[in-house]
Amino acid sequence: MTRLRDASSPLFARRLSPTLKFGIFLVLSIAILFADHQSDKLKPFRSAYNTILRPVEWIAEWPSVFGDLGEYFASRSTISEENDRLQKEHLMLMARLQRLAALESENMRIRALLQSSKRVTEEVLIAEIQETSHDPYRHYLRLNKGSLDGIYEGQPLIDAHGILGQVVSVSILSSEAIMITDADHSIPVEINRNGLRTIAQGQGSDRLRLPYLPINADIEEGDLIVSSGLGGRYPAGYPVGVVNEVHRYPGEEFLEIYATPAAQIQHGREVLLVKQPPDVSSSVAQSEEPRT
Amino acid sequence: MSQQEHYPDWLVFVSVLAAIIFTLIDLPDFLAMLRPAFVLLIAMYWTLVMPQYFGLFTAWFLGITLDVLTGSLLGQHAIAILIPCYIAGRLRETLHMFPLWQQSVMLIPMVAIYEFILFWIDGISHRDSETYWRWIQILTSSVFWTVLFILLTPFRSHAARD
Repeated sequence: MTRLRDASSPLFARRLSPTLKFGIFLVLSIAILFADHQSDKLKPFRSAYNTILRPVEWIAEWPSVFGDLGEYFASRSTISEENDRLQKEHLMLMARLQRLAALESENMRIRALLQSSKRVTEEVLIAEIQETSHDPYRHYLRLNKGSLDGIYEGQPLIDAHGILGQVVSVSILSSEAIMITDADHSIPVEINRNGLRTIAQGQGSDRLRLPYLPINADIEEGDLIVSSGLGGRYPAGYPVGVVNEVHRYPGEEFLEIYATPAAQIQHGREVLLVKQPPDVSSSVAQSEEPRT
Repeated sequence: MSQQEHYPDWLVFVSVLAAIIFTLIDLPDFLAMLRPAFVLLIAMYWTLVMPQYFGLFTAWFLGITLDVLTGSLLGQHAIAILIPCYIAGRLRETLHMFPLWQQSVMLIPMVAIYEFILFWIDGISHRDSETYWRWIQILTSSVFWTVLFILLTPFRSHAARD
């Protein structure tokens, strides 16, 4: 196997027929595919090789660095316009925040009355998006924080507007996160208006699907969907999306519902990683599992 | 074999690196859908013109590299590059007889095999998505084959002739 690492020399030259070589690599690939699909055993290899390949990724990121330079030299008027807009937005957010502070303290008081131990605030960590998925059909992000910064697998990811996804693999200096819109991803949610629980599935496009809601479910276009916290992976109460299509097909058992993600999936360079104490999340998972 | 084509060693390395980088560069969504399968094309090119230097192992290993870089299942791109490269290697003598534009037409099935394997493994591992646009890559790839030839043939020298 040590010979296999030497990619530059003509391997097995004049010793194995191409067909035999082809067969060997075919079987090897299939074995690797199965191993990678069924277990995590190849993960160390993947993250080690990824670390070796970092320089290549850096080169590939250069054009976006130039893009930033372009922004740096952006005209003065754009910047002052943006400044105006941001100041307004800041003012608005501050106003909203004041109200929120009042609401939060009220919420805490009421929760204390109910003797509930639910956490209202979580610790967050800011990470930068290094790159997005190269395959337009897969919705993954690479972040510039890794296990050294305390990132762990399954850590939820949010942006300023809502839930973005979760971390799926961590190496020392970087980590990879799946977004809620990836076809592989589902998140337990509830309708903010009435607490109706369901699941939001990613579609590999820029919308979410809410399956398994009966035809008479109380859901309308414009309903806000928030995370329900069931399953213990995501914190409860963060916006996930807004319902924008409800199709009632007579004779079907379930509604066909689509939602737009609240988080800005395609924009932004920074994300927030929410840190949940492991004991809280596991106890939530245990106590709420039977209900899901 | 009447003539042995030769290309400088650094060109192989640089072109492979460039193919990987062009695969990784961020593009707007509609452009990303049109992105040719650069790594497959460069692997097939070197398999065709320098089989003694660029073998099946290198093609396979490039696939593994692509898997690690794009986060796909390990072995997915490897197998998808390996099979067209093997077929291209087998058809080497035949392909050389045809003019360039006919070669790119003959390449369409190979890129289709590549795309189909990727699509198929995505399906088996439940990572399929709802769009069908990935098939357009087959056309852009075969167009890019011509570009690749125009870019790389100036470096060719017929050093060894026998």
